[in-house]
Amino acid sequence: MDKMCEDMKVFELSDPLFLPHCACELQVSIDAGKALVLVGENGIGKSTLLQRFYCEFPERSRVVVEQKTSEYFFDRKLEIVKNFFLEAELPGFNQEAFHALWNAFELNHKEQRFISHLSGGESQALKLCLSLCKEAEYYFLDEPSQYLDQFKKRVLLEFLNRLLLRGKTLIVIEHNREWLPAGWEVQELKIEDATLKQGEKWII
Amino acid sequence: MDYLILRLISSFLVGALLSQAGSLIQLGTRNILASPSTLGFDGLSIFWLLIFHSITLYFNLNFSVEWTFIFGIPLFILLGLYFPNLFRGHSKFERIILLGLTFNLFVGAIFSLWQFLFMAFNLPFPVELWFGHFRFASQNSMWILLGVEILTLLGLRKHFKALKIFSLGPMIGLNWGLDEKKLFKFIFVVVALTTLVVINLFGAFSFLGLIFPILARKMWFAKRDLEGELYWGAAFNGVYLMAVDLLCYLNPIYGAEVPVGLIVTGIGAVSLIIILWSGHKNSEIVAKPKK
Repeated sequence: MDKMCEDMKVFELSDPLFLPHCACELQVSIDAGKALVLVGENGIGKSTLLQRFYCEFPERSRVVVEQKTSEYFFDRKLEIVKNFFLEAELPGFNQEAFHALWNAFELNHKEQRFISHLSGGESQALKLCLSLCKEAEYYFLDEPSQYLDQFKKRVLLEFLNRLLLRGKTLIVIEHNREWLPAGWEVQELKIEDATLKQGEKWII
Repeated sequence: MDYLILRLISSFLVGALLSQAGSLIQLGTRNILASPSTLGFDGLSIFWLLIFHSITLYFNLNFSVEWTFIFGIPLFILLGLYFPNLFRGHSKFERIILLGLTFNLFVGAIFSLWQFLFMAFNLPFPVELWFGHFRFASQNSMWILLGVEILTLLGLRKHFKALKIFSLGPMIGLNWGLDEKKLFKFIFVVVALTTLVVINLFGAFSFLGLIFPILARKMWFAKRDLEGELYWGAAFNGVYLMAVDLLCYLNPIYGAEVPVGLIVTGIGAVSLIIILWSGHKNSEIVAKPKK
């Protein structure tokens, strides 16, 4: 499916069974230490593609933020979740990043609230905080800015930019193009003749 | 040891074990309708007991009930290891629950048929297992229960971090290296063995594994998160079953003791109706574990 270079991973996808609704002819390259944004219409298979990408990387080297909200079966206070993360000694846990995101997303003011009482944006912030506090090389983010207000979007962007400065690689699906900063590479995806292909590629 | 003390310890351990099994299965499937009863583990255990009883009778062997459990251990461990595979693919959780409940009905029909045949041939039949009770509590059964409880506690201790990560949702599990397959095996082996030991030694306590975890989540110790539910909740439910059994023991009706299983099955069935009727938010989730 792909050939590895030291600084670049190239995905060549022509598997006819990959997507149920169309064929696929793709060659997407991911440069190490850079941000690649996948854009395209709804329902063309971006999230499935992202899933295909992250499965290629070992679990320890990647962080995945999926689009759907997490299913929290046990309703508990944020304080309990925070204490668990601080005490659990999870492999790759970055305490500094956790505190930075927790406070920047203002979850520290809501620690006595139950998860089920959080709004959509607050749930998304919690999901991002609990995932991005893991130290990894590759970050796969499916619409990370969804539900977030302008302030939280800025916080997220600053955090992602700091990751880039530290040489991390970001692969992001995003519809909100105004939110994307300069310097990020954008790869358009489109369907032509019932086949998923890559369109234009540009740098913001 | 005094009979009443043996009986109280046994009822406490059964309540605690069923509470823990119910909590684990509801956590594993992320659905409050899941329990050893609704997923058919009760039916399988009774089915095994009927088969074992018939075989020993046919070959004129004399095994006590403890041996039914011991011979059933490998079979039920295999069952627990295989059961998570049912959640793979496109099996909707509702379908699995319907299968489990239908299987229980099927076993109920076989049970009645077996009972009829045994009575026709004037053979002894374990009629009392349909509704659980602690009238025949013995030291052997208590030690077996204690052994299973200790193994469950050791397993919980080992998998506690994984259970907590799992309870935060599939995506958190995906990021923090959770081995869901391993966790599922642990959960379903505990559930299978718990159901086997309880039904083989004391009979069926239908729906207790369904209502006990819900009860534990309503209590003050739920603030302690999973520890509250799996340890404090289990102890609370153990005391609850012990108290109901003590009431049954102290208040016989015309000299006959009402089986505690009859009472709790009635309460459990009504609770299930209420949960289904009210459409609880966690009673309709389709369980889809990550590969």
